[in-house]
Amino acid sequence: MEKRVLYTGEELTSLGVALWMDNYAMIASKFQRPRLAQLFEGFSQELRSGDKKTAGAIPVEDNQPTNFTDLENLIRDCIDARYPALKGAAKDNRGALRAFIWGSKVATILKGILGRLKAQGDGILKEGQAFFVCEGCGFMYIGERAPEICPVCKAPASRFTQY
Amino acid sequence: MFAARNIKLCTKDCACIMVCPSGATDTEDGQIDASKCIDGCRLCVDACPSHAIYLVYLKSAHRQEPTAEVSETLAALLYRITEIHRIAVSTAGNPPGTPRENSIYPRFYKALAHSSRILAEDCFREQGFLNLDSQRIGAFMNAPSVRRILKEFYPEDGALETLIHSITSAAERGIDVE
Repeated sequence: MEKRVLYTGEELTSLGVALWMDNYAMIASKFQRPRLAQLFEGFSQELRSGDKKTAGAIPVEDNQPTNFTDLENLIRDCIDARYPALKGAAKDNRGALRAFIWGSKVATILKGILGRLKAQGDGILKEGQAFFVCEGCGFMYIGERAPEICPVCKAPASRFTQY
Repeated sequence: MFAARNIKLCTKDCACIMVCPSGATDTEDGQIDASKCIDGCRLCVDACPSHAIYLVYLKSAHRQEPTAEVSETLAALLYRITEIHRIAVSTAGNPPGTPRENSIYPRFYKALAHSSRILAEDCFREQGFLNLDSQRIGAFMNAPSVRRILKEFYPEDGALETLIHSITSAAERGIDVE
């Protein structure tokens, strides 16, 4: 087993490590290891507690949270630079190419929803509508019910969570 | 390897109980008793008409390592996705401005926190973090940059080492112990 370190340091934050723990909590649970999953979950919660302390109420300008522009910039950077870089690096790595295809589609949808949210505010959800997120790929959908099949990763409606 | 039941798919056809030579499938807790399960037998897996039983592999074949370039582009991507997740989580917990009745913003940010968590998960898995390989888990947690972050949360002498050991040794065992 190669011991190459995957991170040089600057890209990694405590929340990033928490997300890594979340991934392993999910894997442990699929491997029938509920206690190991609990260990990972505990680590993740501990790492997330630091963020909770620093987070205050988000200021609002023109009826829009001020972090909205940060979100738009981050998602645009992913779509314009980071996912294309992954595509360029992937070459014959089919898994990485698949991550590029799913991820860039999901990011593009998120960018679209952010744009609509900016224009329409609360009006983005019509009567009876909700947000739905696919557990397989992260695809977000607005509608009255989850789509029959996820258009990005083909997961069935039962894999969607409603918000 | 041992058999495990996906209780969401189980429709209580009980074919697993009919074919199991060791009685491992006949339990009260909905799960298959891994300690009685015969390594690699898979009779119940093939017999289940609902496809509700699968084999949990304790060892997996060596997987192609991502190149350094792929790992680095994934790391750069993960940094942005983490920041999106941070904004989503902190905003969902602190609704902006005066809370209006039926505001959709908290719901949107919760959905975005979920979506960004899945996007991050996908990147980690392409970096090779997709099974309970204790060496790989240990290599990540012991990497200097990760240790530096974890040390802030577990500053006492030996506390971090104990926690890392508890996870890598549990992953190594292949099965949960009481």
